[in-house]
Amino acid sequence: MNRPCPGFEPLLLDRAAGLLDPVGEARLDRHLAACPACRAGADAIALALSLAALPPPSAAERAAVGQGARQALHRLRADGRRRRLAGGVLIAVAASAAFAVAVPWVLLSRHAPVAPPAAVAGTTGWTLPDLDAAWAAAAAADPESSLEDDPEMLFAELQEIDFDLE
Amino acid sequence: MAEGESSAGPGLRVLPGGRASGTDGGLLGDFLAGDDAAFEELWRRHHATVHALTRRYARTPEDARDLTQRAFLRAVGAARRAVGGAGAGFPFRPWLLRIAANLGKNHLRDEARWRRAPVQEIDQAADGAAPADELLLRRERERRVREAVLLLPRRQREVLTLRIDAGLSFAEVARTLGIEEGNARVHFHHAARRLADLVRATGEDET
Repeated sequence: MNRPCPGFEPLLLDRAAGLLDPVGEARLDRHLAACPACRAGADAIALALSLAALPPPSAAERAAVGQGARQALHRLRADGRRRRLAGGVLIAVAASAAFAVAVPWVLLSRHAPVAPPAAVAGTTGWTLPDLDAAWAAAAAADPESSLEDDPEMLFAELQEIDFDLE
Repeated sequence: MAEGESSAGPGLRVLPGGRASGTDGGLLGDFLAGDDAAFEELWRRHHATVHALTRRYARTPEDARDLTQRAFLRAVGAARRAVGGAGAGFPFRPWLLRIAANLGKNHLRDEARWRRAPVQEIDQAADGAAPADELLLRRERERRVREAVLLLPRRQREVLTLRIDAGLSFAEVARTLGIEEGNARVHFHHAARRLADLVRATGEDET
């Protein structure tokens, strides 16, 4: 396989890219007239790019894509509703958990002056949960909330879709 | 047609305030403030370019349409936080095209096992058939070169597809990928040289 002349291959590639200026075009044409290897190289580059190019979409395909704005908006709304619903469920679960913990604590605290018997005290080893932390955790787990407010989450999302196949 | 609107051609509404001439960043801001018509204008401006890009990575027209929609959804969703102080100057188009290319790559990864199936079918058909005519030979070469495009190193593939599929200038390719224009040109050279080498090698195999 004869390769194009090293000094002229960049000009061949620039011509294929549509980047060659008139001076370069004239210089390359003079060289091609006398160099079979570069002529073959130019043909191979042109053929490769024509084979690589996709056929244009059909009229029906173009029309279908062109009318996709409404469908995209519908998907966007549906996605937003799903996220809000997921966030609402998480918050409700967190609230229920907090309530279930807080109510017994309030009831027990009314009897605080009375020290429990030693045996009971040994079995009630729980401590008051940090409700602020619980609510914060619930908010952080809410996908809508995290996307709206947290630039770090946004960056993480973008990183997620920016992968390298190699 | 609502009062105050005028027609500027099939499917294009010109809204009060010069919507059709607004910047992408301005339209994005309007959409994020609740104006669906602004999204439709962004779609009208850019869907064909995004679709041209996503077709490279799609097995079917339906896949390409889905990827096009997903690129827009990702772009406007992620832009919500990224617009910041850029406002009307936010570079929505490069942002959108970069996301479309990334989604295409993701799709390619997810669908890799499916892409092998039609290739194998073509190979079997070609092996068992009489010598191919010009059309069959051309299609086989297209298949090999397009497969090679998908196997190019990432940056080479991005530059090549933004150039030959999306039809971007090298300046816009560079802006989209956040690289120098000269760098984009070098990546294009490498990609075209690899594909030309493949074409030459394939031609020698066939002779």
